[in-house]
Amino acid sequence: MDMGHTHLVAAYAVTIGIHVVYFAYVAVKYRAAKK
Amino acid sequence: MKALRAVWLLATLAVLAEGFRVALFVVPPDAQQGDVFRIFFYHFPSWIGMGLFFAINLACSLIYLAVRNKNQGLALKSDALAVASAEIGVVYCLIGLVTGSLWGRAVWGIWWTWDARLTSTLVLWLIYVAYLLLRRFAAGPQMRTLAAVMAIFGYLDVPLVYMSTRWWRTQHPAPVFGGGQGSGVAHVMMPAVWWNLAGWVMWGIFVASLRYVSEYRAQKAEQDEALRMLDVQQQELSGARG
Repeated sequence: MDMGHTHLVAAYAVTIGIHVVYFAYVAVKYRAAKK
Repeated sequence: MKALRAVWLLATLAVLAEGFRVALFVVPPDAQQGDVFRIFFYHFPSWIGMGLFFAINLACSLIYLAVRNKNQGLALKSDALAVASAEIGVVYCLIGLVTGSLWGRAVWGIWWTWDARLTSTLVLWLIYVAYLLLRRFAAGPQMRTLAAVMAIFGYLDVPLVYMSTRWWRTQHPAPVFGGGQGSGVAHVMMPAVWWNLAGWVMWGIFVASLRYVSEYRAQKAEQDEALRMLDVQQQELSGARG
C-alpha cells in the first residue's frame, strides 16, 4: 500500500470514526434527556 | 416523529453507503493525484456541512437575541438549535481539517502550513470550540445572550475562510467549485460528489435533530426547576409576612 492509499484509508476512517464518536455522545444525551 | 426519524436514518445510511461505493469503486482515479484525490469526496461535504450548520447557528443566535424578552418559548427553541448546530458544525470543521491535512501530507509532503485558508479555518474551529466551552462552563440567561453575540462575531470568519483562496495566494488549491474558468472536478467524478454531499448533510440534519431534542428538554427542565424554586421562595416569603 503506497502513501496515497494509506492517507485515503486514514481520511475515510477518521471521518467515519469522528461521526460515530459524536453520535454516541448525542445518543447518550438523548437517552438522558428522555428520562 | 419517531417513524420519520427512522425513515430518515435509513435513507441517510443508504445514501452514505452508495456515496462510499461510488467514491471508492466507481469513479476513476484522478489523472494527476491518483487515488488520493478520493479524499476530496469526504473533505468537500465536511465544509458544506460546516457552512450550513454554522449558518443555522447564526440564524438561531439572531432569533434568540431578538425574541429573548418577548417570546420565551421561541427563544429557548432557537437557543437549543444554536447549540446543536454549533456542535455538528465543529465536528464537520474538525473532519475538514483532518482530511485536508491527510491529503496535504500525501500531495504536498507536509501535514500543515500556515497559509490563509488553513489558518483562518483553524481560527474558525477554535472560535466555535470556545463558544461551546462558554456554554458548558457558564450558566444562566446571561450566558445564552453572551453566546449568541459570540456566535455572530464568530460567523464573520466564515466568509473570510471562503474568500481566503480568492483574496490571497495560498498553498491550498484554488476553489474547486465557483472558482471561475478551469475550476470544478471532472464530469465523471460528480456522482461521488453529489452522493457524499447529500449523505453527509442528511446525516448532519439527523444528528443535529437528536441533539436539539435533548438540549431543548434539558433547558426546559432547567427553566421549569428555576420557576418552581421561585414559586417556593415566593410562597415562603408570603407565609413569613402572613
